Amino acid sequence: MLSSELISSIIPTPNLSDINAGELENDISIIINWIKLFPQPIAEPTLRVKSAVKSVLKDESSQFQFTKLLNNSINENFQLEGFHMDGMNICPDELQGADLATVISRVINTKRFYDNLLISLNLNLSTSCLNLYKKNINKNFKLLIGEEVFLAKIYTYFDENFLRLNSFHDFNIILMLQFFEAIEMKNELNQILINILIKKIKFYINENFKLAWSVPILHTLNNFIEHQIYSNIDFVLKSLHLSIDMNDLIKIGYNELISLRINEIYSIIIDYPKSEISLVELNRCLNFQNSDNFDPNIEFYQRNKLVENFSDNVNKNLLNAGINTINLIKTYIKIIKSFLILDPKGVLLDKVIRPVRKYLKTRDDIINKLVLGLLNKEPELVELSRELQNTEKSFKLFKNFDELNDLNWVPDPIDALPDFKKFKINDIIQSLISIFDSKEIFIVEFTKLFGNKMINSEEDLSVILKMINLLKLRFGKNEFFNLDIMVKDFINSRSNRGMVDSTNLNCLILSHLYWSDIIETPSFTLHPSLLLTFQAYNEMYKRENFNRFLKIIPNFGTVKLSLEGKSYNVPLDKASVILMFHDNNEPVSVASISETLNMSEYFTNKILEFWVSEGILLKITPQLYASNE
Amino acid sequence: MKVQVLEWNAVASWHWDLKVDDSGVADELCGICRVPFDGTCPSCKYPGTDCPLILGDGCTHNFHLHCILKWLEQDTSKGLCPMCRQVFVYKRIKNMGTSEELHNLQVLIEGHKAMRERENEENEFDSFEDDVRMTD
Repeated sequence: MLSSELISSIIPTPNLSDINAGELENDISIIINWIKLFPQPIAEPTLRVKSAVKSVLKDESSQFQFTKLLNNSINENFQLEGFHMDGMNICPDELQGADLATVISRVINTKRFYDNLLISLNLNLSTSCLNLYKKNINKNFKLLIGEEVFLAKIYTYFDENFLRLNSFHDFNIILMLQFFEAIEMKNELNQILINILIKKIKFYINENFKLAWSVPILHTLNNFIEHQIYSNIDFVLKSLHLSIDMNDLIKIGYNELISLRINEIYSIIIDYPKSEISLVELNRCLNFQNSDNFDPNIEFYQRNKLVENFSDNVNKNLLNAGINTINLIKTYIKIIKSFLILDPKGVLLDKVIRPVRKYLKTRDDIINKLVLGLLNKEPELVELSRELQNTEKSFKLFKNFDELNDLNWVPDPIDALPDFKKFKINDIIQSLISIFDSKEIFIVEFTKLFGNKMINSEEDLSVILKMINLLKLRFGKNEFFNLDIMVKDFINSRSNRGMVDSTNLNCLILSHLYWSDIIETPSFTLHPSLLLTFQAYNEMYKRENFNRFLKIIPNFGTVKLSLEGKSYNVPLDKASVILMFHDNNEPVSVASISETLNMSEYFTNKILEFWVSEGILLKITPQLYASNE
Repeated sequence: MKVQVLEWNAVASWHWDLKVDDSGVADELCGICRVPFDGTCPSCKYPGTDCPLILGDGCTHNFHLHCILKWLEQDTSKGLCPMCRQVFVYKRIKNMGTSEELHNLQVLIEGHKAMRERENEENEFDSFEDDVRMTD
């Protein structure tokens, strides 16, 4: 309550120089008395009051002083007792406990009362005085309403009534909006609204899009934001003259989706190619830029987080002894393909793939599996051979190597690691090969593999040649010189075949230095009759190729035998053993066979057992065998 | 019992039939390029017919044909065997090397021979002059 003591302590009488001291005392006390009638509904001021007001507030400076005076009393009033309403004082504590709607309508009424106060006094105050007064009132209300607890209540209210926000017939909502307008807390309301929207969007995304990797969802999300979120607050925004950019809302949605996907990233990539669409959409989310407030830090954070999360999962789930090499390679391929969708520049891929490469190098069977995969001998790794057939790609790859002369050269992306090489990782085969510092190790493996195929006549030469040509495109033409020599041996031997058709011997003649990985030291000598045939062939060869002779490699090759009317196609060791029984009905001892053929007894026994199982030989004693006639 | 061999698909390796030297061991490496004879000289891709050997006739040393050609192309070789410094002569063997290569070899060897003879004549002339001087 205003008191005369208070007023005189603030405004010392001598300062009101233009006013007669006696009259002034009188007039002010009349006004004070009149104002004291607060908070009762203000009656029309009496003529006396009016004239008192007129005489006190003659000029602007005294009007200012009066306003300040009034403000001070109101401030004190607020601090002491809360605000007045319907003749009652409501203190802040009570406000917080009360029902929101009641509080709001009370606040609005009270606010109206204070707003009307000066007008109803009809004081003819200047505009600046009115503004000063209004500002002060607003400040007081803000202090009162701006409490966290109260804002939390507003938040809950809007949250619960979100779907009704657009129904402008709803009295409560209108009231609410008036309220915020009245106390000039539009910005606070805006903040509350945004928080609610974020919450709604987050909830929607987590509820609907978890594990939904195989279907496109961005369109659904955009629709949701536009038609169920944005249109709902449209009315509220318009009536408060606020604006929220649709694109900002979409960005919020996308960011939320991104963090959901970041948490799922490992499973998504394992699920590739089923999850391809979600990777495409994630890429779109990561690159979505809402017009003005694009923040590169967020993008940087998201990309980092993505790499971090994925690498953690890789370490935990992939790089351990429990995963077999084929699965490792398959996952490796998936990582390459899916990360190139996520980030076509390859920077993210470069970061996540490094530990996997390092680990793959430690697997003993990796080369073997890769080679089998490239040659389409490993059904699980068909992808590799398919990639190898893609000659267009390998052509491009070669071009990329020449970086210095590349007219379309662009610098590496800004977050790339120093030794970033795109061509090294975006091609699956190149990426796998470059795990090892030297290609040599692969070449050796290929050579061995093809050599074995040729020496055992397992594969058609045309197929082998086609494969070798494809490999040359990837590994370089000159890397396969050893294999070229082997192929030439093979072709030459074939043409020899026609030359010496007098015998029933076809000989594959090798340049032994280049087959050293394949041919082993012989474990036996041929049966004399076979040796004889070979000698004859050798003589023929010597006649054709001066100063060269042949050495038989008994561990390879096959002999077609006719035995008891049946024909057998057997290796040379089996043929040599059975030839010991040719024209011989006497039992033959294991020891004598082993001596003649320079074969270990254990091995001899094994072969004898084979012929016994075929019904050709009879085992008389463990040391004696005879033909089964 | 009759065991009849109908067909035999054998695998064999070819080797150069090299001369055995005094100690009874055949050299396995070309004395010039130090690559096994059964391999190729440094400028060839395919061993065997494409990269033939030359067997020394005066000495027991053998070389890749292309290696000895390169050696003899140098004047400093003086047409000598790089291993034993005897005059290099080779064995003529049918089908060893193309006729062009053998022709080149022949030309080189003859060129060196002519050089040597000229040198010898000069030496003889020198010694004749010396004799004349001494008699003076």
